[in-house]
Amino acid sequence: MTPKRTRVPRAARLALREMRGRVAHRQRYRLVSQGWQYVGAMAIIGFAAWHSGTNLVYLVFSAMVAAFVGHGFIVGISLMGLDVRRGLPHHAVAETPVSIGVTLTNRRWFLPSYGVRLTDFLANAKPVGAAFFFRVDTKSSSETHYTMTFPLRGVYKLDRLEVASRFPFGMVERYFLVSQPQELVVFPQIVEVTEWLSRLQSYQGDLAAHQKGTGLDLFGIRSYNEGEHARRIHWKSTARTQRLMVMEFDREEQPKTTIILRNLVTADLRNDPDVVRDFEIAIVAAASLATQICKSNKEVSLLTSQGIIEAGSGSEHLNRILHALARLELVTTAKRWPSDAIDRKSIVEVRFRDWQPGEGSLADVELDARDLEIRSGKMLRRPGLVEAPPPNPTSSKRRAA
Amino acid sequence: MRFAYVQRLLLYTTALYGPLALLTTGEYSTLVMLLFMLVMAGSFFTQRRHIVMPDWLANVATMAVFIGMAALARSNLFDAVAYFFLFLQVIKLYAMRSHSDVHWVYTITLFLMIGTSALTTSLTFGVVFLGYLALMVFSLTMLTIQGNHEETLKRQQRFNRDAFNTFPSLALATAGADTPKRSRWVREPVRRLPTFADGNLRTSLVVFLQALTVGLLVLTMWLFLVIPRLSTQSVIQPMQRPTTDTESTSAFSSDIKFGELTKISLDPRVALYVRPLDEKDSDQVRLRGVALTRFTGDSWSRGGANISYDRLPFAPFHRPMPETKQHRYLMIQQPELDTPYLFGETFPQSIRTDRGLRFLFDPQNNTVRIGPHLPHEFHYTVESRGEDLDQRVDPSTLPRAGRFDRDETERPANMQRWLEQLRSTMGREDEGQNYRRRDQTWEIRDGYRKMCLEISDTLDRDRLRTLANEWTRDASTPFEQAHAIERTFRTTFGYTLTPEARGNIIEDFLYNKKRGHCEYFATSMALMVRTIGLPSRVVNGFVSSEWNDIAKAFVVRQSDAHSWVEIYFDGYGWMTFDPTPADGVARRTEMGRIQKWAGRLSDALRVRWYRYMIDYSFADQAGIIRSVLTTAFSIHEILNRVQVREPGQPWSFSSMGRAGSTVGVAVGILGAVLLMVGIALVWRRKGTKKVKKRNAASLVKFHTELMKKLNRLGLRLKSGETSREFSQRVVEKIPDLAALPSVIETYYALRFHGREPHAEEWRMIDELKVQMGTLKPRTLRQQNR
Repeated sequence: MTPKRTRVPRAARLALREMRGRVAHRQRYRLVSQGWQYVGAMAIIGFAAWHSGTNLVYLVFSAMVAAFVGHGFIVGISLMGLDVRRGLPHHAVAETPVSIGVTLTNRRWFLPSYGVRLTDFLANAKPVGAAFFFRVDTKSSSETHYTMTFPLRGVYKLDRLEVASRFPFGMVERYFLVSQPQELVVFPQIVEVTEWLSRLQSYQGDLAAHQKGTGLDLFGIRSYNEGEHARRIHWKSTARTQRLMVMEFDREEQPKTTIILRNLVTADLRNDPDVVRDFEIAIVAAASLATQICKSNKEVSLLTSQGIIEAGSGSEHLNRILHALARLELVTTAKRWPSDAIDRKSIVEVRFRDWQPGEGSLADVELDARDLEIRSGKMLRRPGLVEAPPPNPTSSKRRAA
Repeated sequence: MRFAYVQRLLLYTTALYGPLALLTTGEYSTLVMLLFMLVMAGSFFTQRRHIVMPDWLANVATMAVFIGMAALARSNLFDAVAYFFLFLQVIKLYAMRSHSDVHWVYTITLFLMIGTSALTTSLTFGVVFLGYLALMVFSLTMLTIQGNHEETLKRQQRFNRDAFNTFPSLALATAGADTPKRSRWVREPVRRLPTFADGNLRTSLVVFLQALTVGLLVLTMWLFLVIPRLSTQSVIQPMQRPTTDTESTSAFSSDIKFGELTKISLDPRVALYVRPLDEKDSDQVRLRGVALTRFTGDSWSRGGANISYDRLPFAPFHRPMPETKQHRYLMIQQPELDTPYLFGETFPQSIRTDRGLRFLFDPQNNTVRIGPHLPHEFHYTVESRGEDLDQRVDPSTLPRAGRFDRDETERPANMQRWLEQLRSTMGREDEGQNYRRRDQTWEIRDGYRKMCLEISDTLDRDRLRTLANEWTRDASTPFEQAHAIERTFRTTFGYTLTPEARGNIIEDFLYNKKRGHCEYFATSMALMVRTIGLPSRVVNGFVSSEWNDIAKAFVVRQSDAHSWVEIYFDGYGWMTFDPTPADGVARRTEMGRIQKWAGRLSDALRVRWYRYMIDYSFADQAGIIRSVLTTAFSIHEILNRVQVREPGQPWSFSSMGRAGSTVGVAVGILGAVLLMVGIALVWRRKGTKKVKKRNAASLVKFHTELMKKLNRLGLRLKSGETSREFSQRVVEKIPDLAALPSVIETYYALRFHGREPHAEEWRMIDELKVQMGTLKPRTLRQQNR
């Protein structure tokens, strides 16, 4: 006989949950500069009232104290029952702005939250983003995002979110911290490598004519999915079946390209700033090459001292390569590559250091990353985001006023 | 209206409150203050056109104003400071660039309000302060939201910059190690604060701020009541001794020229508010101010009476006579009267005040005045024994007063009771520093008696005596003689405020004109009774019959100033005689009904303002605590009674007296609050926040309008371009419309898949509508530029 399970009353469960939430969202106060000034003025006026015994000065003093106390009360309430959630994109690209979404949920039933500011922190307590919520209604959520540009590729560990408010009078800031550890993979910067690509194409011959003959053969017909382009609709089948049908095309067999990036260095060079810098450039070069090749619907594979990514094409494959490049580090010991890993016909080796004795190039085309010029202006950018010079402080002040 | 516009509007309105507050003091020229307000308002329009005073000019102007005001400070420091702040406010408004300047404007306005609060006690200031407080709540809230929003944007830019400074990008690294780190700014699509065109937002925020204002006012009043009124002045002032007996000249001073009283008799301003602490038992109140003994032909003076000093509470008016009427307690509020003298109903017995004021007491004339610093307004309680002129009795028929003090057993019962009451409230008569008994003030000294019998050399004494004898031919006792003179004046003389007597004005009045105002009558009678051997003096004070039902107080105006006579009878003391004909006493001001009602309301407000705001003191706080404790004990007693009552015995709160009723009301309020909380909880549990179902067809309509609007803005749909593609193109040109693609997707979902938008999508559509409303071709051109 199984023992009867004790049922905890709903009210008790709710209370427990609330208590846990409060402990997790332990709120703290912070007196901002305006608050210090206000307290100073309040002290002076309080002394003046006490010294003079004038009731109207007492009245002004009372109003000031009331505003201070009332502010503390309201700012405390406005952060009660707030939940925050961060929505990270699948990945980001270095030097390219990325939007990170944040959602604030107000669980209260009696007062909307106004003027809530949210700050996102990395695991090393460095702030990366800030977002502002004008109003979050009761029993509802509000979404916004902040835009961040990561300078370097890698894995960024986002940890805490600080939710703060100075509403209504801005004297005291109340805030709480929520721990939400998440990782964001930042792909290497993608730059134009036209010159290199030309060298590779001239070697491979048919790479220059990569557009000809592609996708002309019909692979099959299937049902239409929402969002697909109307040009792909096969109208005859549609008329026959009385539902939207689209065509799928076959892909031509393409030459495979293997990009080799040897991230193997001796222990003394591992922390050398010049080597590290050149290595980063090499990663950018490899990533840019892989991207360009993938965009041409060619297959590409990546070989590093830490492993291999088999040949493939398409955006998912490119993501795998860029993921690997984002996490790539300089190592002192290398894994052995399988013998069939290298397609001898089109090997590109991206080099970032001089060959050491005993080493030899396997490549058909050898590219030195140190020749690559990386300019910010050549970055691939998202629409709607433009680079602008730093604003003139005077004009920004004018706008603020 | 944009958020920033509303905030700016509120800021400039707040700034106007500085000169407006100073205007309420009456110390500054209305024209100058209005000019300041006009100049300040002008800065609103210059700011709108982005005309900002250069920094150097602002600095030079500030220095110039400082130097100018430093010169003025030699003559009047307070004025110099006030004007300096006003000029500074103007400069700040015209040179406003940052949030720091905005805070300066608020700070300066606050200091002007504080300065005003120290200068005035006017009710108008209360009204101005109320408006200022409400405006500040709105203004500061808007400023905080806007400031937070801007700070968030700045922070985001800083974070981006810091990231590049911490990890120099490869672009910088390849450029060489010596290249300085440059800032990298990425301008985000500016997320503006919502505009006030959003009715829902406007309503909710405004309602919230209104509720917050009311809450803050309640909290302010509560704090005002509970903050202890312990000031350093109350410690320092009693340690100072009065130095000189200087006083200003007015109708109530030690030296009064003939006709001074007539001047203020035409002034309708309120001089005093007199509130009976018990039931009102008389239609008029006679308030005694200054007593004058020496007449020089054209002026009266107080004479050489001794001045003594004492601390409160004390009983300066002590006249142990058999009482004809009960003691009355009057709370007198003295708002704007230009006199140091205190007033009390004839005859005052004691005075109490809550303030640590220094008093100058004249025991012979029975007058009290404050000195040397007269507070703007204050209140005091006077205990007096009302003397009804119609019920005066001949002192010769009464037992002699002097015996009462010598033999306690012969004191009348009411006198005994009064002394016991005095002891219980003030301690024993002969001990304690707070009470010092006055010695037999009803027996005047010989010197003083002689002064009260003097007749000026400017008058023909024999002729005056002859006239007095003629009028008192049938009188047998001094009282009857005085009464006869008083009656003759009242019945055979006329009253006029226009002085007709010329030359020797008293003789011209008595023998020729026979028309005059109260000063003529009082002076003539005082001198006439002196010729028949009765010591007399003239008393200046007020007689008012204007009762305010709302304020529950007599309103005493300057025009109620009056003069009458006090005559001394041996063994009795002083007795009041008023020879002025009845039509000259307690004249009422003729007013229309509405004017009268408005006047009463205004007076009632002023009474409460002075009583509970201006004169609120530590004693009042003690009284509140006492009453709270008393109520608490009463509740305890009631609860005990409820516990011990017999079964079946009828019981109600009202049967427990006043405290019971209080408890009943409190229980009722508590019950109502609990009921409301219960309803709120039920409502919350049900989650009855109904979402209004919206018509999906409106989205199709909006889509059509959207395309038209974009067309008007110069963004046209190309041939073969879908809405989806078009929306992407629009966003590239107008980043503010970042929500457009999502809205178009929602539109597609509705149009081609039949899926209705959910709440979040509706909200997004509404936001886009608002953003579209703010877009104008001009704005677009500016953005593109």
